[in-house]
Amino acid sequence: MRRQNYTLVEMLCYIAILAVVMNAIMLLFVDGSKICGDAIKDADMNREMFLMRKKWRNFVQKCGGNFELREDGSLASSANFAKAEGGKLIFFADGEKREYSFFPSNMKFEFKIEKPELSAPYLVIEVSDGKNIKKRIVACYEK
Amino acid sequence: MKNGKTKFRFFSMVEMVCAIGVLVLAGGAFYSASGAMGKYKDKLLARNEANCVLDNSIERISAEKAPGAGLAGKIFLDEFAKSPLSQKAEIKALCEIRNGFLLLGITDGKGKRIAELKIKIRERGDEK
Repeated sequence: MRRQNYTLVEMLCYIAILAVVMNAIMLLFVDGSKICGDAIKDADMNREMFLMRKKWRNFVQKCGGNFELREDGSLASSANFAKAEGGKLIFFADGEKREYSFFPSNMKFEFKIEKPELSAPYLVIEVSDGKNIKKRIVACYEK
Repeated sequence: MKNGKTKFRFFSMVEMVCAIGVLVLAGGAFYSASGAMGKYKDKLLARNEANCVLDNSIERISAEKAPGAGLAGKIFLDEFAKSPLSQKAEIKALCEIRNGFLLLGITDGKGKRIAELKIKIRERGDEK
């Protein structure tokens, strides 16, 4: 008895269906892993922002007041200053320099002094990825 | 094989329907899993952002000498407006006085609170 093999048409149909199905499944896997990757990045950033919040507020409290924004985007209060270089934040207060470089290099920091009419003035670090503001950390210096 | 001609045996309708049904089920399962992951990620991000808004609000409220409920509410709404959450139409800020506490919260599209804060505060403070 001769064994019947698959015909060329059957094999082509099978390969085409398999390619379509595999493509769809791979797309879903890639989407899923991208979502997971983004979630991990966001979780890391949140943890870092949580740590940074305390250090930023301590720095502002140490400086006391009389803050001004310099042309290079750094924030200064007499001899003390805070500046951003790439993904790195540098706080210089009371002769002590501290560098924090655990942020991704594409993150941009912007210092702002906000003086709203309704409440006390405060300082802000805005963290963005160049397009959208991701986070803002507020620190008040008149407590 | 019959008379030297190859006889093709095509798939029957039942086989095709079964195969397509299994593929659709598998695809649907993957798609819904992927969608659920995306929704969970959005929810997590919104919660973190809401906590950030509340934390910034507390920092600003604590800098006030005599914050009243009105001023605290304004500060909270100001912080909410400056956060990326305000760009999402379904997420809303909630500010109300209940049982002597000022309740600051952020709700999602279903009205469920994703983050909230209770502050013991005077209803009328010295507002600037």
